[in-house]
Amino acid sequence: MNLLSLKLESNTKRIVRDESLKLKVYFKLSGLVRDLFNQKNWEEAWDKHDLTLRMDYHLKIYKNGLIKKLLSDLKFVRKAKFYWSRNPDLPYRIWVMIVDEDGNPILPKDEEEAKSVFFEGFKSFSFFGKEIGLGEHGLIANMKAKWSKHSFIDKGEIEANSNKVSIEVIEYKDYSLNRETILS
Amino acid sequence: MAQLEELRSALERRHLIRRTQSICPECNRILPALIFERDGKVWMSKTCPEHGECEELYFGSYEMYKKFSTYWTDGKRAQAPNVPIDKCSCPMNCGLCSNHLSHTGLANIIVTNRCDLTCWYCFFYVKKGLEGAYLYEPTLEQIRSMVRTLRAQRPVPGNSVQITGGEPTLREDLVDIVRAIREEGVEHIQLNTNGITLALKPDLAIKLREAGVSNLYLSFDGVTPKTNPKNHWEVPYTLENCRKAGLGVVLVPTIINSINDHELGGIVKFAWKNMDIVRAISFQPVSLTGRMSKKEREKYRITIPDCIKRVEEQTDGMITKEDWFPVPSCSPVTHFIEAFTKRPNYELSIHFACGAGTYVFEDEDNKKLIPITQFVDIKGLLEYLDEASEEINSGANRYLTAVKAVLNINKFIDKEKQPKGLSLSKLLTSVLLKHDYSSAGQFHLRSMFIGMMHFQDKYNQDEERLQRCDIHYLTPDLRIIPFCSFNVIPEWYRDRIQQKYGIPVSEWEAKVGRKLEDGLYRGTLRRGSHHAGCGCVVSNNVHIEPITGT
Repeated sequence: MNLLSLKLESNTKRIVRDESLKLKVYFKLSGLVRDLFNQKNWEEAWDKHDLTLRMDYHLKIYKNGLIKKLLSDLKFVRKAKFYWSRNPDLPYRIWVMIVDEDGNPILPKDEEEAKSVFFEGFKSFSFFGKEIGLGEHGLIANMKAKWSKHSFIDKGEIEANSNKVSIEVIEYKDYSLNRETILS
Repeated sequence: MAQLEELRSALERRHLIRRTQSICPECNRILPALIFERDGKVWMSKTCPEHGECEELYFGSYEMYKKFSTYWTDGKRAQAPNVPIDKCSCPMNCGLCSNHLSHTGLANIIVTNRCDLTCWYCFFYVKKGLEGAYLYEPTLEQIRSMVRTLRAQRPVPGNSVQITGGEPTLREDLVDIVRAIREEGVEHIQLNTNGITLALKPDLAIKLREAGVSNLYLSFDGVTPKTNPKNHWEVPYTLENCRKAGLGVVLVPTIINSINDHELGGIVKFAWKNMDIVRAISFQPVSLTGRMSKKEREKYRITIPDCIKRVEEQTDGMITKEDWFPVPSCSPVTHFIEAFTKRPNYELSIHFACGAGTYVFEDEDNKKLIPITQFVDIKGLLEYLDEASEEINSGANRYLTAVKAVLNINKFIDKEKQPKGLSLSKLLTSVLLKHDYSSAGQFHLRSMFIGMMHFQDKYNQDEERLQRCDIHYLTPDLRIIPFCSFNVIPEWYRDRIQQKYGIPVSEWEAKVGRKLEDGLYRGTLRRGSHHAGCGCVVSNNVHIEPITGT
């Protein structure tokens, strides 16, 4: 079993249409694929010339309502590359380099760090109130993670939704004034 | 005090990238080594308990190091090792051992260590009078045996040979040697030469081409007599003779900081003007062999990113640093072909710090040189091929996936920016579907490859690089030895083999009835002043427009 947990956070609950709302989506993939991502299996895969595990993440943010509106659609890939390390301090022959979605090569110091760098993270988003629309809304994040078949794991896919975050977009900053008062 | 402060500051500015193993440049002891970033560059540091610390520039740009390192791919290993050992002991016991990670990409066969030149920076010719100077010329039978060893390599039988020296054209039976290598089944044969004999003997290029030489690997260190005294006057004749023979040429400049690093742009322009016959340039940042003081090393040391930067500066931004990819970046193409064909394929799995390259095409309309990256989304295409291989490996129908991949190639090509007269999608489709030597050859006929290959030395030797080396030497004891063992530790490999299978110079002289120095080139083609076609900035040459070198 795999488990994908997703948490959506916003910096505020109410914004004016010209202000920006900042959202953060935290994600964590756990379960079988994470457990099997260990040095023993990296070595086994490497021995079979199975050198790269690729995780495709697809993250969407929706505005809930009668019609579900897509606010953001982000795809990114992380790669775990198994290689023969000549680090004399490492008690293993085969180790992993993780290339994150920004193209940064990361050499983790231990298995736990490797798992955390590969299966966890957060993404930040920013929307103007007018992109969301006036009124009260529920925002939700959806993520799919998929991977291919490798010597230590079958191909798989998992999808999850985040908690709902309620947002109100208003026209003016002074909440005591309504539109009619200002116009008069 | 100031020195101490400087040392402390240098240490504080270090940012560790990785740990590896190297050797002591004095005693060859295997040492742990640190690869770290400081001031935007990558350095190596190692400390010998007997000879102290050695810190050396490893890679001239940390940004480029990061980009290149993401293409790290280990090879399929040598599955028919000649030196079976359990525990990896690089750089000892090379041959290839069971722990070597790349099959042979290019196999060097030294056919002689005689040379008609005596270049000061070259480590590879027999010098008379030196203790231990042995003249080495394997017999035709020995050469055949070496090639058979190469062809027996698994999972991918070696298919590419470089005949090298010394100066191989000094062997009178060179054409027979080429024929023998072809008969043993090798498809690609390149001849590493200074080109002088080919300039002097117009029919030699035709004979070599007919025998099976695919291209010359021609030393060419600059566009002025000062930077390229070795064959400045002869190269135009060599090129003309190759042109008549239809023999392609790869220009091979050894780049030395403060000596010829200001002429990289000039070399590119020279190659471009001769693009009908020049297929590639292979820049080689110098390997600092022999004992050298730190001051001298700092003067001469140049690395791949430094050369790339100079190419950008000296071609007025025509070829930028973003246009370059490390050699192992072509692995997704190999992996896709392997997934499709279900059998191991030829792969360039060297370390990302060993080599880089780009392809340039000439636009027929506006006569501009256009790097492939300016009209192909290379990164996107490689990612896509990676994904397609994974699909096939996960059980998708390989034929359908391959057809889809071929149809999708166009998405990564900007046809508006593509040079006129070029259909890259056709060339790539042919490479992906036919995946044979001739398809790759067609691709190279339409383009010019510009590459960098940085061979190591004792100061910057990284065993992680050595273990992945795919440029090897075939030796008469039927071993296959990585370049950076063979030449970096000659006392263990090159010199020992040449002594064992060679004869003292005096014995050779008695045998052939002439002196070694009689074979030296006396400058027949350089008498008088510059002549038309000499490739010099001051000449009004015929084949080449004047080159400014800037």
